Amino acid sequence: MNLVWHTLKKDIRQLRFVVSLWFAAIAVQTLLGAFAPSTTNRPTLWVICQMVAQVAPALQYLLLIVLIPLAIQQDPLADPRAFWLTRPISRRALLAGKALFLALVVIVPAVLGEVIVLSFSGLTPRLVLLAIPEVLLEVAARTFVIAVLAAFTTNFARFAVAGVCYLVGWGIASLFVRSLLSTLHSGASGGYGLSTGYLLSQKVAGTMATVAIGGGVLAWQYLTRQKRTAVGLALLGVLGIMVIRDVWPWSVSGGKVDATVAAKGPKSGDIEMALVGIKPYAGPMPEWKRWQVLTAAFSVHKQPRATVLEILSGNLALTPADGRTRNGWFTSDLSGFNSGLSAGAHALPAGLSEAAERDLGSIHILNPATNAAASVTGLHATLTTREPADSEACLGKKVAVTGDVEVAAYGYKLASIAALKSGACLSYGLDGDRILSVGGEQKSDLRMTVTESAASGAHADRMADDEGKATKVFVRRRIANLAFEPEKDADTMIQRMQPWQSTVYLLLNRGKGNEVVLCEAVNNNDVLFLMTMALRIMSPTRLGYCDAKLIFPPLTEDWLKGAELVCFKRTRLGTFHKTIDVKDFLVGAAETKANVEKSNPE
Amino acid sequence: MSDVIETRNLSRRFGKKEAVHDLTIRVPEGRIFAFLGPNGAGKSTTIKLLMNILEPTAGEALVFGRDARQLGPADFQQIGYVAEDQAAPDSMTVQQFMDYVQPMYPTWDPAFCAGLLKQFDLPLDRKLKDLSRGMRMKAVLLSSLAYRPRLLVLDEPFTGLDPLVRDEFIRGILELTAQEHWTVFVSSHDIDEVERLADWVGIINDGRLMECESVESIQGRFRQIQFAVTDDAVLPGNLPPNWLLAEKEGRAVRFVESRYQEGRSEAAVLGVFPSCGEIGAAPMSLREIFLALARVYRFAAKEGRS
Repeated sequence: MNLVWHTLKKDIRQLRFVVSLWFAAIAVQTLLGAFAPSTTNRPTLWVICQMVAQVAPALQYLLLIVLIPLAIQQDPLADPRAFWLTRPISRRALLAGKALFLALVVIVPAVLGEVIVLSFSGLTPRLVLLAIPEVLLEVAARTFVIAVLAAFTTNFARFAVAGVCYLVGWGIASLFVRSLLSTLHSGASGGYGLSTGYLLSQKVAGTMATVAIGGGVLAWQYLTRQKRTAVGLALLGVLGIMVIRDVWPWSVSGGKVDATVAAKGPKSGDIEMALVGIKPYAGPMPEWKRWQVLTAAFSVHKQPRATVLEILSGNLALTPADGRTRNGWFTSDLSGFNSGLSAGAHALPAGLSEAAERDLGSIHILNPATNAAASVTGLHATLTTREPADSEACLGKKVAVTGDVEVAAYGYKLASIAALKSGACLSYGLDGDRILSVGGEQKSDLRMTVTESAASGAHADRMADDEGKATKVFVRRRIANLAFEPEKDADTMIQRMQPWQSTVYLLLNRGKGNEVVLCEAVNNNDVLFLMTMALRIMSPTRLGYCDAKLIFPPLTEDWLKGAELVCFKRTRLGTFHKTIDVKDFLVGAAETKANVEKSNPE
Repeated sequence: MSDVIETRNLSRRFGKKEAVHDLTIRVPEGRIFAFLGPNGAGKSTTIKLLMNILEPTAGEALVFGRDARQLGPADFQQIGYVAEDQAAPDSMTVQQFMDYVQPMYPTWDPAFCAGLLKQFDLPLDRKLKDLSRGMRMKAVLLSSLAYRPRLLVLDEPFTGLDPLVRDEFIRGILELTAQEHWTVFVSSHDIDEVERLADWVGIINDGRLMECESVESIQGRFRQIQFAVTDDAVLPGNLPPNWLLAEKEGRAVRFVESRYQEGRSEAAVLGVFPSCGEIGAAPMSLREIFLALARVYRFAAKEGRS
């Protein structure tokens, strides 16, 4: 044991300069990562932090790929001239000394830094604890890969060459493995889910395999110095890791895959749905799409209370009198039907007022004009046909319509409430919002153009905002992804790509008889700033932030004094399919419509 | 007297090239064994096999009676190894180097180390990479002597050393081995220096051991024979095999007698050249013997290739 410590002390002493740089890099990143997101009124600091967050991980990586080879090659394994070979140091003691160095100098500080950042990000202790094994695995995996390459080489130059070969080889081999696996699985249906938890599980399994194989090869090389065998084992291991990363079939989080979520929601038979109209799409859209897009409207009956329906996918075949069938498919909605408010949609999402009543008690909405859309009981979707001529052939004519649509049912749920003051936090599981400021103008790059829908109300709000009349609340959204957190369904994963899409904010004043003001627009740049700092090197997606400005109608200071910010989250309740089969359906006639995007003064 | 080093039919192959072939040597305790051979003869490979740096492809190497592949820390605590191409922790100062090495050896003698430091005149505060080649070699040697090893293995230790340092180095080893009764196994090109050190010599060529005996014996066995013959005399084709590198230059005939026996060797000359003049039998230095043998091996190799 003495010689193990002796070796460790020697390595630290010899590499004290690089080790100091490594510690300093982690310390700086940890401090910035931990404290910068909570600096509510320091946009300049925040911008600096973002810049550091872009540069520091590269520096940290650089230090890592310098520090580890230097430590390993202090007593090289592959060099027959190595000093230690003829000195009374056992291979086991040397392995233990190097392992201790990697653990104490490389892995523990990096993990500690990440844990500090996660703790300060507002995650609950339980989630931070859940993150530790994941972080540990990732840091250990990267460390072992670098250490194995260092153990196979005699000096840093050779290590660098080996590293480049490894990266190129990895790229080529993973392409090959993926194409091979996709060929093998081409016949399987639904073998791979899209859920975040599932994908993270594959990542975790691959990381665990990397740690096991990397550690094993490293130990083998130290204990036997049989380099050829070790290299062979490493190559086999790399192939194994690639396969595991692609075909790992189990979720490590123990959650359920998204297919089972459907069981919670309404069934196909519960809801009646009928096609009521097909007409040319009249809203703003990219010019190239203009005459290829139709809008299909469905009437819905027996829709459960406090639910929102949305067409996820589907296809319709339109067959006019000429007998030629024109196929179209549903794409993302351009009509302004929105579940959230991120696109500046003015309408109150259906089901929200019921959910608010349910979760907050009796409420009195102060901006009821926005409530008009609550009565919407229909479904709209855009139908894209292949050629403009296909759409034109059907316009103003009776056609036979057949097809199938997949509909998702959503509901709103109270996620969190916090006092309306700077620094207060809304927390809901992995995500959360920190209120940066209320009312004032945040000097930052947040003033971005609201991409309007056809809803004119949002435009008016923006104008009010421009005139300084609107009540603004600046928030910073935290988004975390943890492999060991029970997995999220595919819908949640998509929502996270547009973080404001599935959230609705209200201002609630209980002192004034549960008065509620609905947020009318969310002004954000939809760019997810990554602020993982010490850890970004390890996982760029584990922790991220993005800022937004919530725009409410003008409110008095007196009203705002006792207000709370309330957040409702949209969750998918389930999905169902409906078959469409209508004969002699009259498609709406063509009409000329100016391109709103082009003519918009914005 | 037990053998500190013993090899039995030791072989090591690198691909198609057999670097060491069927090598059998014994080095008893207390002996200074010089392992000589031309470049690429297999000296360093043999030493690396003995030190468990390489593994043999056949045969075995024993050090202190243990299979060299099993040599562990306890064995290396009794072995000092200094090689020309050995890597050392160059970023350490001499003092740090000593501090690093010392805890590995329970028998480390600080007083002895201090004495050697003084004797070798090493600057404690200088980094190894900043030292001259000779000084660096001395530092490594010191780190291999201060624990009084039973076996000192030196692989080309004199390469790159200037004559003065070389002399100091050899004197240091000679003094110490005399005091401590160490066994020394040294390989070198510098035959003159080795001659001062060694009491036993092994000559290896092309991976094969050609000679292995005491320096006294080999020097007694080899003589440079020279005598005069008539102008028309010619060298016969069937000279005795122990007459090496025979040549006639003018009236002078020279060869190396590899089995010299006073009286008998002269009689053998007279048997071949009855009318020759006075026969001179000059003793040969180890260097001369080695060079003669090296030429013989090279000639034999050419013959073999042709």
